[in-house]
Amino acid sequence: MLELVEISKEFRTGFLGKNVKQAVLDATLCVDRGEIVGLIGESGCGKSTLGRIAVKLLMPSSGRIILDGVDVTDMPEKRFREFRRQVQIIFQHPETALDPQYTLLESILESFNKIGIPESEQKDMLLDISEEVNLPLDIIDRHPNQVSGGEIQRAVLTRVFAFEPKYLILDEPTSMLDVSVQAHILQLLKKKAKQDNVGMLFISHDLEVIRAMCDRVAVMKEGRILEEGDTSKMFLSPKSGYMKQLLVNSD
Amino acid sequence: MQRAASICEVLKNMEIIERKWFRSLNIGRFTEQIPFSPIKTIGISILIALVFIAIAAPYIAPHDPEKTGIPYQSPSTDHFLGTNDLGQDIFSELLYASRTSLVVGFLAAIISIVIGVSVGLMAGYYRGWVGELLMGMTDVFLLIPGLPLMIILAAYLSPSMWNIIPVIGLLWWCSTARVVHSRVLQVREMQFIESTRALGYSDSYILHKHVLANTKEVIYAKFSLAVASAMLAEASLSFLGLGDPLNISWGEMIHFAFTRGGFANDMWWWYLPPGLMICITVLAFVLITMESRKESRLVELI
Repeated sequence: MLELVEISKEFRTGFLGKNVKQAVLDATLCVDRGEIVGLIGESGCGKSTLGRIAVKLLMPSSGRIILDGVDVTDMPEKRFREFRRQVQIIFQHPETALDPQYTLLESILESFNKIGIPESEQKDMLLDISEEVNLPLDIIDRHPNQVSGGEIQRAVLTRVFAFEPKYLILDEPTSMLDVSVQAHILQLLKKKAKQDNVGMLFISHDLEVIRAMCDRVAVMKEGRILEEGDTSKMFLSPKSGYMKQLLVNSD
Repeated sequence: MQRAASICEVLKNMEIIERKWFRSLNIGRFTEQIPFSPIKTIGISILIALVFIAIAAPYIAPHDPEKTGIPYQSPSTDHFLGTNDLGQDIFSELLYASRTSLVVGFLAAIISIVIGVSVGLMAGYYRGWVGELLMGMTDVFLLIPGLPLMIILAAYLSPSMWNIIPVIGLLWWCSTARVVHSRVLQVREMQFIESTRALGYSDSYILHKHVLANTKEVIYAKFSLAVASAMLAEASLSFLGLGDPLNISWGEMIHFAFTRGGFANDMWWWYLPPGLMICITVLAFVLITMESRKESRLVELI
């Protein structure tokens, strides 16, 4: 289980850190394996920050990150690298998700090499995963600026799935894609979660997507988690006024 | 039947991958990355010609540039550009001087680029107090009036080429540092940096493979301009008489033309050619950098 316990994060800017911006405040959230947890909230409410903290791309100001019972919060980066394989993140903007200098294949190989897969097995692995994520093989020698957003996102999935992660943080992975591609990728992610027992934290502001994808939902506003519960319950009878308002607005 | 078809499909895919694999690991890609551009080609050809002249000077120079003869001769078939006050052949001197000018230009530019890129990269990538300190230092260096300080340093140190190179190099890195710094700030905010870190790669790998790779066209452009400005700086110093008297450069040729009666006697064949050579060389470097920004893959994202 990936647990985020009472996470707070403040950003300090300006001279000697005079301006303090509280991005996340006392957020507690856990993701079990095989479960998809939705995190909704408007832009700037701190949901992406929380996602980045979960993979330790950002350090929390206070609070604990517990990965399968191991407290990894203060673990030095060098030791944490072994755990990186277990928790992966996918970002929103496909156009900057891969380095424009390299072809899709080179970017994918980057992750294969990290795991240390021998060159002789890399081809089979690529065939396997690309079939799973529907990545057309005739485009893998192109650069990211020569393929579509959906194709990049599939390449990113190939890169990440190679790690066989136990947990995936999805930071609005489909919000920049067109509807049909979005549906494909969402199906694929859902299948992956159930089949391979991957726990997912699905960050989005799209209520429909959350409703279709998630087992549980948490609502975030101004850095706090207001409410958390099963998807059906949350959508039928929300307790917090904010969630009610969101539902009304989306209708 | 269906099974056979799917096996066929897989085999076809295998073949495709095999081919792409080969291509993506092949150096052949290096050439296809550089699109043909006439302006760049002109610049590169001029540069190759200049380097050839510098290397082959002893074989193509008609006279020994040190050998004295009848002074102040006008251009003739024997002496294309006449002779100077000591009767040395100016054309041969011009060919030999390209060696000093190019060596000073390249070495000083390499020093300035190495310092500038390291400072800009570190300051941009680590930010925080490291960045503040490094960029503060850069600002201080930028505030120092370069040419006067160079003149003072060059005057105090013995007038040798090997003193002039580090003096120019150490004073010319600031603008490179600034440009690299601002590009690194843009690159480090991109998601591929974060996702590579999430894969578990170290900072040095990310710096080298992703940050530097996306900064390289700025560095190439800056290097090329640094060579040009280092050559101009060397020419200014030499013109002021602070050059290396044992290794005559183009700037020094103008200096001698000025102090030994070339200008007074209106001997244009003495002072004009070295000036033109400086112009042509600087122009060649500028032409090379001219179109590189358009080719950048990263710029499309910014």
